[in-house]
Amino acid sequence: MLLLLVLLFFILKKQRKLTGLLILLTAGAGIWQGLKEYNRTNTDMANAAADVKIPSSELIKSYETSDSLSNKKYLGKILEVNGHIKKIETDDNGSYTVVLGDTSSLSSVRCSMDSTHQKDASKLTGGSSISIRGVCTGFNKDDMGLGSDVILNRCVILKN
Amino acid sequence: MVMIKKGIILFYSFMALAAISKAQDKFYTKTGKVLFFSSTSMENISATNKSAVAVLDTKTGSLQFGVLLKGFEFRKALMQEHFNSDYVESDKFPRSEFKGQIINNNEINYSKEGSYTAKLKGQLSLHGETKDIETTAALEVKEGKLQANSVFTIVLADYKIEIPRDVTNNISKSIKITVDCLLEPLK
Repeated sequence: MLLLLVLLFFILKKQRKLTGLLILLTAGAGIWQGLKEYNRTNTDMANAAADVKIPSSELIKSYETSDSLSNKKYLGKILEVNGHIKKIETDDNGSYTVVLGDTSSLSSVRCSMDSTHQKDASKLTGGSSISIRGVCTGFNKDDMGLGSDVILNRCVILKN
Repeated sequence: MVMIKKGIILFYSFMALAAISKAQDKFYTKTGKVLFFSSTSMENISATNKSAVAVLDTKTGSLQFGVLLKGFEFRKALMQEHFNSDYVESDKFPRSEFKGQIINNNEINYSKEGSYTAKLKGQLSLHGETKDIETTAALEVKEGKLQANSVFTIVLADYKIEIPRDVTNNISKSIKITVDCLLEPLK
């Protein structure tokens, strides 16, 4: 950075105004790009393309069969999961979690709604079918007696 | 005949009682909040996770806690990406876990509303490393639920989390962890 400025100083001194200006502009654009990247926020899942489309039952089955193999396929990926709404939960802060899966089974796909898309979940009703897009953050194996859960984060509801 | 009937009623009442007391032994959440905070003169960095799992057995005081590292949300996407790929390596180690015990469990009356201080002792696994930790948690018994809050500090080097040299001034060597869980009775 300092080197660039020194260089710039010399070039400007030689009255090569055009070249100087060009370098200044390039440096400015570089800094602007850097700052933009530094301040970049997470992509809204409503505008993101899914890496994998999969029914909730299949996703659960895959994780129950092999945790590590499924992580290789789904962990950190944008998933579009469709299935039956088992229940809709709200926590003490008003954040929604849509739970997908078979009511007869303890296992579920838990979709934690994106903070900017909370309202969409409030209109849902249990028992209906739905598609949800979110980032897969992994699997909580049933070692606490609570059932196994695949967790999706930053979720948005997709229109069926 | 009457005796048998009485016996049956008594038997079922005991069964029902046993079921109730068993149900209230365990408290859990699947929407626990974990916040971490790194503070240096250069930069403050924080991240939140709102899908932590916790189960507390009030009878024995044993506590299990799990959090998926990819579920931590940062304000800046770049920090989130670095956190996952460079620091906690969440592809290799997706989950962090605490398994421990409330050592003063007999001092807490879970059936009586009020505030208690729980002394916790156990093991925390993160980034493939497991370390003993001790901390306290504020417990509040209210309307049949348990509000649990805890703040503690971990040293990144203990978990073999290395900070690249060019950002050593931006990331604190010890991280403050805040846990906020509303535990409900497990039915």
